[in-house]
Amino acid sequence: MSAARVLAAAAALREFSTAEIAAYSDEPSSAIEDILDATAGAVTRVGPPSDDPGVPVRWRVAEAVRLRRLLQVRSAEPGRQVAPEDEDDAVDQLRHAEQVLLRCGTEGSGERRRVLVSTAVNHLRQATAAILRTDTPWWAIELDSGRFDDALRHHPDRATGTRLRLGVTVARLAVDHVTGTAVPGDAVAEAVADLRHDTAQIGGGDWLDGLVRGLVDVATAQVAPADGPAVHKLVVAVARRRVAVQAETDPDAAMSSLELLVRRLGGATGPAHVSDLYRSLRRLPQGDHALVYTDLLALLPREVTYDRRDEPLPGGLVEVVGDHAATERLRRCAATLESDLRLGNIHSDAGLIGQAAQVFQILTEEVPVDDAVRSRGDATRSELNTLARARMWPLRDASGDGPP
Amino acid sequence: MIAGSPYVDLDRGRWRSILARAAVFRAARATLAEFTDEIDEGGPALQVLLALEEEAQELLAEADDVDDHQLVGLMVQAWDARLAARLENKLDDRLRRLLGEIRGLLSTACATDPFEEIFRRVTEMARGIYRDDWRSASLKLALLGQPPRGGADPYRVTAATEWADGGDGASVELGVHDEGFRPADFAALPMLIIHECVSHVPARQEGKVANDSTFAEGLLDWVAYDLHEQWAGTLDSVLAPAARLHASRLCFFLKQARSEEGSARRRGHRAAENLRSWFEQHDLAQQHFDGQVRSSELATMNVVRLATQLNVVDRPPSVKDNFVALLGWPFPPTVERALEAWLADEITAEALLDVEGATV
Repeated sequence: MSAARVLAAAAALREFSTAEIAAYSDEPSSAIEDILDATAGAVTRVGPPSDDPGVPVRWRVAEAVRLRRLLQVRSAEPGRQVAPEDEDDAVDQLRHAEQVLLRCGTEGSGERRRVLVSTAVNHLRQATAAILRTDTPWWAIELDSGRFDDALRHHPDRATGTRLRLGVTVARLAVDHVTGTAVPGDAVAEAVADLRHDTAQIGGGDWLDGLVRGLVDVATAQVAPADGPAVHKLVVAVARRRVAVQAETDPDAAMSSLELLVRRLGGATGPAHVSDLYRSLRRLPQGDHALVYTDLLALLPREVTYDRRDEPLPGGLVEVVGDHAATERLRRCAATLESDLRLGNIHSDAGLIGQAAQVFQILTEEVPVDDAVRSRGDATRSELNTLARARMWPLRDASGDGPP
Repeated sequence: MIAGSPYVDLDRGRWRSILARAAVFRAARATLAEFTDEIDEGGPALQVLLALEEEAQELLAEADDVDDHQLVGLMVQAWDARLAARLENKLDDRLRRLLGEIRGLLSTACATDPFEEIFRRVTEMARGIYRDDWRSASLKLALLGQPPRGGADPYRVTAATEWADGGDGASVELGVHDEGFRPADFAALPMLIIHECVSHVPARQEGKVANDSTFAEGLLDWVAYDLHEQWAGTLDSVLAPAARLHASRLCFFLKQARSEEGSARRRGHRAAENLRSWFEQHDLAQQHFDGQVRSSELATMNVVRLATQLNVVDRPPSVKDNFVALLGWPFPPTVERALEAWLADEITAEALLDVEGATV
């Protein structure tokens, strides 16, 4: 095989020294010269040798076709076919596409994120083509095509079909995100609801947690408004991170939370910006029916009473009916946190959550004799610090210029 | 005067612990392919090795005042005595011959640093490929507290590369799990070092080495294996059979890994195979050949040339991975046209990274 390798290197490099050929083969320079000389002129020396022994002799391919025929004789072997992608390989490629998709969220550069999304999409197309055994070339597969979606819905291996549909949904949202294309929250919510039915049916899989987390990440990034006051940013940042974390332990519950979250954040009937962390909805004889930033409940002393009614923004806002003491405490804690956020002049989501964690420490220490407040307050502060460290897709820039 | 460790991050005692074993493995390298198979079988060969590992620890603890040459001499004596004792027992003919051969080779053991020796030869070969784009590289040796890759495969060696600030030089760190360093690990060293020197040392890219890169850990790894096949005999013809055997086994285990690195390796190897097939079929389409015979050697060379050219293009690893993602079979027409233009020297390798359809 050595002579074939030398001739192959010559054919590929076209002009070279024997030292260059030696780097690609297992022959010393003297043997390479012999092999090249034996080509009878297909490869020839370039010009006369230099007087300087340090200058290597250069060689050039003079007759490419004849060299290739010699190479053909030397390395003759049966024609090799490309092994078709089998099912295992297709699933492996699907897994790789998922890994790349999940990496997009942690990529800080918008340009590199766009490249990563392209990479994931191409792997996903190849996996789709192999799993569906379609005649359509992989690069012609449009991920938003109803034809492929139908085929995946009816795939005999329901888990693989669902997995691929989930991956395709994440990829489509990712493409829209990096290209700055707006998607209505209600449309995203419908897609989530559609998938939720199937993911609940298949009963999990080692891939499900990661994909659902990726879906939470990119879907909320796509529909949540990027601008707004600090309190709004804080609530949205905490809510989307909390549902993302939930995906890792309970993907079914996370899918339910996500559906509601995207409807509320980007749907036609969704609320406008969150402008305060405590809003009284109705005054009642025993206290207030109020919309409250969820984490504030951890700061309520043991002796107050309240009743959780609804969770209009999962992980972020909760409706409660509390007694007067609860109302007073929630109102005061909300005002302290709002004031701190307003003065803090912090813009990043992680920074806002970190700042909130610090305020929670102060508010917890206000009630030193209440072990329940201390315990719940510390747990919330710890959770907020964890959420602050979670890497998420940046929210889509509503200006249409795409994310930074 | 007794010399210390040649490696900054390795104290004298740990260095000598590794050197004493590596020196014996190096001396017996002609037998390592067979010896490692016998060790895997778990019979007398493994018992000899385990007994010697225990003996080596005692020897090292007691031989603090001897120099490296004397230490290797003591290690050889220990092996010789252990093998001689074993040869007095009942053994099948094949194992008797093998242990006898190892015993005979021990006299060639020396205290020359075998890691640096392999590294120096590999860098000379790799420099021949990359020429002006080659980056000077130095070797570091580190002992690992835990088996690499979480002990998911039987090899107890790993390697990683870091570039100096400013990109002028590279440092290849060879990690060896102190307690587990065995003949198979020694035989796998050339492949590990070739991977670092082909994939990472000369690489031009932003940031650090990315272990989840389909380009660096996959496509270029395939190239590194091909070059290992070519270079093994030149690097050390005596070690070559064992080096080829363990390069192949290491490749198998690394490709099996469920990690992102394993996934990147599988995808990149698949892309390299697709690329080779495309180059083969392109040759046929050009009608240079009669009938159904094609040159896999030329196709392989073109994969090697293209991958090494891309490696020195100063673009982010994600862009190179994106190119690898386009190498699904069959290739898109835009990729085919670009590859044809590259073969005809009409475009540079860098232009392939911007082929139409590369980004959404």
